[in-house]
Amino acid sequence: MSDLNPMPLPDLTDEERATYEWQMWVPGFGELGQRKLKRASVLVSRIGGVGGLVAYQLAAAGVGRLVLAHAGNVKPSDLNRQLLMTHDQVGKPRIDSAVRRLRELNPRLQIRGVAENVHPGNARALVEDVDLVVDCAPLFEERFAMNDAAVQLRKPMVECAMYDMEAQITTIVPGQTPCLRCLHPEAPRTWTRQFPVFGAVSGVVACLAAVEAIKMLTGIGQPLTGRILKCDLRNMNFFSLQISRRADCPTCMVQSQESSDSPPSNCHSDSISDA
Amino acid sequence: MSLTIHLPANLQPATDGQATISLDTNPATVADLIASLVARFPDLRPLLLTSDGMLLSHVNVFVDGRSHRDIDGLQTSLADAREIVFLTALAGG
Repeated sequence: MSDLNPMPLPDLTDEERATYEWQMWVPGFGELGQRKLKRASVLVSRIGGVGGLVAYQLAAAGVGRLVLAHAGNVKPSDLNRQLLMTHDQVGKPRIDSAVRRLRELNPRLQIRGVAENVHPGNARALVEDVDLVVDCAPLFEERFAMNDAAVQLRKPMVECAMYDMEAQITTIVPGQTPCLRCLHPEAPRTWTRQFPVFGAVSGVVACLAAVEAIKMLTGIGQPLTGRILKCDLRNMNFFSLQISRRADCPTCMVQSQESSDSPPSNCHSDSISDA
Repeated sequence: MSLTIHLPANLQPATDGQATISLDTNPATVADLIASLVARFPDLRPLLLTSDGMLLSHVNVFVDGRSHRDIDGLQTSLADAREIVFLTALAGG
């Protein structure tokens, strides 16, 4: 896998070598992998139950720079899962609580905190600022805005979501894998802003997403490209499912026209007759 | 050949809470499977189908790990299938 960031690799300080010693023992990672993480920048869209733990794990792993987008103030109902928020911060901006917690964990981390949610008007500028995106937003409008910007800018995006005791995750590589609109062209009419969630469930998919981000940034392992992992945590059933680009995906079509690539043809009618 | 169908949490209110359904006899196609599920659990209809009977675009049916859209669409044969997974769009973050 080619590097996502063309900048020269930074050296590690003695303090960083001491901090990351145990993960540099991971075969295939080593000091070179750690230097790639130090050079890397990641956008996390919303830092709630999923995104907060993604950011925490990436900060702990030594990613050099995080861009975090999340509006609003901390509410008591955040505290069962949003591990960057604390009781003493209720009523105060979520982004401030998150930045403080991450700096406590990793004072070397560069953080750009954006007190806005992602929308079509800011998505491109946010995505342009980083090497990789992790999409953790609770609304499809935000997810589609992020997806469209990531595909247009050819930035990889880890797409992770949960509901109840289920989670899904895939890694999108524009031009190579299906994007979010290939998988789900339209948002479900029934989706609502509030949903059932245990912090332990959002944390599972968050940790999987952080692993995917580390793999994409350093080139170790096999990322979840061209497949989606569906996790049924109520029954502990896990499914790795093959996914493909849609020939009629509006996002990929625009990107393909710009790059003169052709998406694969795999379009079928989806009409059902009653039994 | 028996067929095991895995349903996501957001469909289970329509199936009396059942997460998996086993069929002793395979329906012929994905379309037949969906039609039989809707006939058995009428509350599934609006969660799977549009008002004019089209499969909702955010619903994916995986036949032994492959999307029906990558095989023969709703006419995908289930003659040799062993496991069906319904995947619907989620956005919980």
